[in-house]
This record gives sequence, C-alpha cells and structure tokens, in this order.
Amino acid sequence: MVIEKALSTTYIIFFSTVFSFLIFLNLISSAFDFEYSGIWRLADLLLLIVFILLFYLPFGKARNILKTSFSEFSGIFFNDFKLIVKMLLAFLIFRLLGSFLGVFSAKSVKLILIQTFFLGIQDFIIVVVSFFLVYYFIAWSYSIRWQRTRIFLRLFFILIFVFSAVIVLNLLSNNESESWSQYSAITYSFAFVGVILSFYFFRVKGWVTLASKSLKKSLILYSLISILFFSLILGVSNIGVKHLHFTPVYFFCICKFMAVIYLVTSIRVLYVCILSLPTSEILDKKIYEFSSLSYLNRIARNINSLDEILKIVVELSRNASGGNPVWIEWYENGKTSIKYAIGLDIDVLNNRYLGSPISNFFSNIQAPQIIHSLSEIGEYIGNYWDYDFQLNSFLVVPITFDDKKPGSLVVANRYEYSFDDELLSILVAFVENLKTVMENFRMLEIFSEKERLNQELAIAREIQNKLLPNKIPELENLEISVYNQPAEEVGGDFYDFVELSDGKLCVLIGDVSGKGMSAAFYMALLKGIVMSVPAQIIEAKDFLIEINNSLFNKIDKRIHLTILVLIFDFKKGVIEVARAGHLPLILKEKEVVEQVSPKGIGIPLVNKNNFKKALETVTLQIKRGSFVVLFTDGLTEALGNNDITAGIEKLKQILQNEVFISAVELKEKILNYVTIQTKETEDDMTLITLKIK
Amino acid sequence: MDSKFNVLQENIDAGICLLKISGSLDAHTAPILEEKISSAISQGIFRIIVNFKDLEYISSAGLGVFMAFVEEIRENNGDIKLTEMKSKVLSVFELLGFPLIFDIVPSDASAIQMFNDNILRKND
Repeated sequence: MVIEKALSTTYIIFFSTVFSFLIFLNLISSAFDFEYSGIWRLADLLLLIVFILLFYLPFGKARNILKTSFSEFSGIFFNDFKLIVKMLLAFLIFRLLGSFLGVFSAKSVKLILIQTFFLGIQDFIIVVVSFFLVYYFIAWSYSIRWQRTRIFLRLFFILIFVFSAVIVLNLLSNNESESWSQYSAITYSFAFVGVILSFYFFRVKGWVTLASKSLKKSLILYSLISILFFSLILGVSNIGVKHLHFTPVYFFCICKFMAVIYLVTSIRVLYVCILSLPTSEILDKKIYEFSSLSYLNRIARNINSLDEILKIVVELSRNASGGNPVWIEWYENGKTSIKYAIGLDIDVLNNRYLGSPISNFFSNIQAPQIIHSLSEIGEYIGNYWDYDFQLNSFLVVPITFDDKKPGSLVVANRYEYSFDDELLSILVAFVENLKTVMENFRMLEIFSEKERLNQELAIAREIQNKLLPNKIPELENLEISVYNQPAEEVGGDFYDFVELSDGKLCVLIGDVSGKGMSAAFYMALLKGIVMSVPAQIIEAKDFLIEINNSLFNKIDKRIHLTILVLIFDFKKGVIEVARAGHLPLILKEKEVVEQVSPKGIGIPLVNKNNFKKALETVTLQIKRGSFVVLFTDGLTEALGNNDITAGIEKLKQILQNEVFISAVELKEKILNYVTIQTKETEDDMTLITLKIK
Repeated sequence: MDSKFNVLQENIDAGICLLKISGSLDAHTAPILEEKISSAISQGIFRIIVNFKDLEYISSAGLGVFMAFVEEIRENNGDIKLTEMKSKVLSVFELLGFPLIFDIVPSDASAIQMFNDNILRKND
C-alpha cells in the first residue's frame, strides 16, 4: 500500500499528539461554553496551520513510491480503495453515534462531553480520510501518469493550494465557522474544476482493462460501495454541534472536495469495468498462457531432470484448464505407465484406465485432439459406458520427439464437451516447450559423453607423449631429427632410441594399425617389451623376434604392428637393418639414393618359426656424410596421394633433387612437400632423418 | 580420400563365396567387410574369394580384417583367396609380408580352381 511506505512512526506520533490536543481543546470549550473568539480563534488557526503543514509533508515522497507497471496497478489501487472504504465506514458510524447523542445532549452536560468526544473522533477520521484521499489520488496519478499529463497534475496541486487558501481566509474573516453553507459553493466549484482536471491526469482505461476478471469483479463491488459512501459524505451537511468550536472545517471541505472527485472516479472505474468484463476471460487466458510459457522458458535452463519438467508441465496444465484432472502417461516397451497425475486418484488410473481400450486409443493418437465425449470414439472403445472413470471428455496432446512418441499429456473432465480449442493450443504450446527441454537434455548428454571421451583421449595422448622418447640422443657421429604428428589426438606411430652396450644405438620406428585409444594401448605394450629387451642384444632381428614372441596370440587379431629396427655399430662401422612389415628405409650415400627393404612379416601375424624364417637382416656400411630416412605410412600416403609406392618414389626424388647439409634441413625439406600436397594428414605421421657425421 | 566402400556378395557354388570390394578399405569401413565375412562364416561358408579389382585404397586397419578370420576359416577346412589386386594395393600387402600368409592370385577363376583342387593354406 502507498501510504504506509510514506509515513514514518515519528510523523504518525506527532500527528496524533496534535490531534489529541485539538480534541482536548474541544472538550474544554464545550464543558465551559466559551465564546469562540479572540485567543481561541487564534489557537484554532495555529492548529490548522500545523495540520496543513503536517498534511503536505509526505507528498514529496509520493512521487517515488509508486513506480509500478500498468498491469500491477489495479491490484494496488484495489487494496488502497478497500482501506478508504473502511475508514469511510468508521466515519459514518461515529457520525451516526454523534447525531444520536445530539438528540439528548441538551439535557445533560455529561452527554455533551461524550458527544463531543465522539464527534472529535469523527473529526479525526475526517482529517485522516481527507489526508488519505488526497494522498492516494496524487500518488496514483504519479504512478500512471504520462509526460503530457504532468501539467494537469501541477494544475491540480495549484487548485488544492488555492482552495486551501480560500477556506483559511474564510475561516479568519468569519465568526460562524460551523456553518457549512458558506463553504459549500466554494467547495463544489473547486471540485468541479478538480474533476475536469482529473479526467486528464488520472487515466482509468489502461489499467482497468488489463485487470483480471476476478479483480474486475471486486473493483465493481468496491466502486459501487464507494459511490454510495461518497454520496453519503456529500450528504453530511453540518460540521459539528454548537459547542464544538475546534472543528477542522478545512479538512471537512477538503474531504468533500475529494469526495466529489472520488465519486466521479469511482463511476469511471465502474463504467470501464463493466464494459471490459466480457472480454477479460479471453485476456486472462492469454495472459496466463503467456506468463506460464515464459515461466517454462525461464526455468527450463535450470531444470536438472526430465521428471521435474514433466511435473511442472502437469501443474501448469492443471491451472490452465481450470483445475481439471491432468496426467502424463509414458510409453515404454509397449507398456503404458502414469508418470504424473494431479486432480484424480492414481489408483483409478492404474486399475481402470491403464490397459483399457481408451488408454490404447490414446496411446495411438498422433496429433493433439479433443475428445468431447466418449461416444465420439465409441467405435474404437466399444461399450464406453462400461468404463466407470467418471471422466467423459478428454484432451490428448501427444509428446512426439525424434519421430517417436514417448508419452502424452492428458486433461480430463467428468462432463462432456468441457474443452475448447483455446485450451488445446495452450497445452500444445506447453508440450512444445517440454520438447525443447528434452532436446536440451539430449544435447547435454551427447555433449558430456563427448567431453568424457575427449578427456580420455587427452589422457591417452599424455600417456603416449610419455612413451615417445622425450630426448633425442646426441652422438658425436650421428645427427638425429624427428617429426611426429598424431592423427585424431592419439596415434599409432611409435619410435624409440635404445642405447645398447658397446656404444651401439638401436633406432626403432613402428606403426600400430588403427588409430585412437586402441593404437595407443598397443603402443604402450610395445614400449614395455622394448624396455625389457636386454641391452646385450646382438642382432637387430632379435629385437623383432622378441616382440613377435611376446605378442603372438595375445592381442586382437585385427591389430598388427610394423617395425623397422636399425642398430648402429660405430665400432664395426656397420648398420644392421631388420624389418617386420614396416616401410623400407631410404639411404643416400653420396649422390646415390636407394631403398633398403629386408624381408620380414608384420607382428604378430605368424608364429615364432615362420616369423624367424621370413626375417632377413641387411648390413650397411657406415659412411660419413650419408643420410638415412625412416618414416611411417602417414608420410608416404601424404606424399603419394594414398599410393605408398608413389610416396616412396616421391621421397627418393626429394632426396635426389633437394640440397641439404644436415638432418634437420632434410626433415624440413621433406615436410615442405607434405604441406604443399595435402592440407591435413588423415593418418599419423612420423619422420626420422639421420646424418652420419 | 574416397571414403565410399562397398561389398557385393556372390555365391559361386556350394561352399564358395565371392566378395567384390570397391572404394577404400580403412579403419572406418573395415567393419562393413568384417560383417560380410562373419555372416558368410555363420552360414557355414569357409571358402572365400575377395576380389580387389575396384579397391582403390587399403590402410593397415583394412588388412586386419583378413587376419581376424583366417585362423577360424582354415580350422574349418577353408581359406581366403585374394584376387585382381591393383599394384598400389598389392604393395601394401607385400610390405607387410602378407603374400606369406595369403594366396594372392590373378583371377577369380584361378581362385575357384584352387579351391576345387583343394589347395589350401594351413594354420601355422
């Protein structure tokens, strides 16, 4: 409410104290029958000035109190109005009591005092009422005014001020302060101007039309009551009794002045209410539809489970349909179950509805449908009067999602022909929203699943990075340069440098068929085997035999590994090469480029004996200035456009034609061709270049 | 890369099945061939000819398909014969040493002849 916010406790205490003093003065003056003149008149005037000051003190605040929307205003107006009507009722009761006592007052001084007291209270109410009337009216006007009506509101302020001044001047110049007749003409003429102004700054149409139907009904009732009460106030003619000198004539005039304006305003409100009442039901529905949809939209983002949103949709549907029984049924594995139900006994649904021809019929409905009466679907459900549901009309909205129908929303009523298309469209809108939420859930699930896989891949990549040598050996007679690029985050390419006894260096390059997690897993297995190979190993092919033995018949048959092993024996000045299904190495000695491809089968395709049988070792002489290139199929595929033979030829060509003096330079030269030919490699790619110094 | 992969199945006569593969056989398309072979096996067909005439590309994962079944097939008195391979596909097989494991023959007819003559490789 407006007024409570504007008034402080101190203000109310001060106001009451001043007023008690006034009543006290009145009691004294009636008891001793003083002549209302001289000092008394002066005291009355001073009191009046104090009152007027008190009266206008909180108005400054009124501007900022009511900053509300158009649609909410009707509620506020209604609440304030109730308070005014209650006060008017109190005023009239005291007024009647005062008049009743006036009949006997001539006979007894005691009664006169009691009457004075009652009339004093009545005066107090008049002061408060007139205060409230002005205050509310101005606060309301502020809250719903437009820029162009501000001038009329200002004019209204000026009008009240001029009106106050005229009354006070009259009070000063007249002895007969009790006489209402001399003020009535002034009051009504000012009120007439006030009413005209009020038409400009107090708009009724906007907020009344927007009010809900029930609120409009209350507004009609209260405006009727206030029309009656304000007419009564206008009908009260004499201000007080003979001995009651200190009566706030001023406030009585203000009260009458405002009563005229309120009377007209009440009539206006009543008029607009009655006019807009028939359309308000449609408006209410639209507003409900809109607000519940925006509510659904708002909460949809914060909802954690499907059950939660289903529950909300059921509740909203129940409200939208005006409290009818509502349920959501769910279809899973050819069975129907009730997810949520309100407004009816779930046992009835479970025992009588589920499994009945009606339930079967509903589960087959593909588009939103109103079943006005069970007789409508009689041909599908047989003797419908056998079903004792006490429900006769239904509204069914299937929840379709991804070409499937996981469930339906059903609203029911015990009477036939209870539903209209209006409600159907609201429920369809709810279900549309529900589908959006379901879609969001699914996206979230996919997203989190993907996120989980990404994390696993990231872990696998980290493991793989650790499996690959973090340091390339630095030798005085061998320069090594490595390029490795995994595809799909984790690759199957593998390389390692193992320092053997006698200063021998073993260089391994390999490829696990397939990519991703499984490739990384087998790579880890390979690393373990390589690490366990004793350092005293003599021949390159022993490495491969060892690996084949460890993996044969132990891993997925679809997976295989290819490995190329080189052992640099600087003491003997030879390089031993053995190959298990891997791509050959390419050697450049002086200007001669050749490929070295010892025989050998991939691992672990054949057993120990056959593997050994097929394996061959080639021994090359270490010659200073020679280059050795090792690679995986990712490189040759990129160079030869998926043709390995063409890729190898291309690589040989590069070695033949390009000029380079170091292993790093050679690597860069080769990679230049890769970036020229393909933008992105689909396979993992590893390239190792070596220069014998 | 041409990712289209297709398998056409032809049953030559009792017990022999011809699979004509085309496109590219890699990690993504391997399951298609895998399914074809395993359905043949489940029908009791253990003599399989795979025609490579229209196969443009094979990756190492594609090779794995043949390894996955060869053992079971040979245990059942059957075999996988590979025919009409393009040279660039053949080079992949050769690198890996597959000619030591599988019979790679020039034509379907000669593969059928080999089956009829009961020339089968055995598990090691």
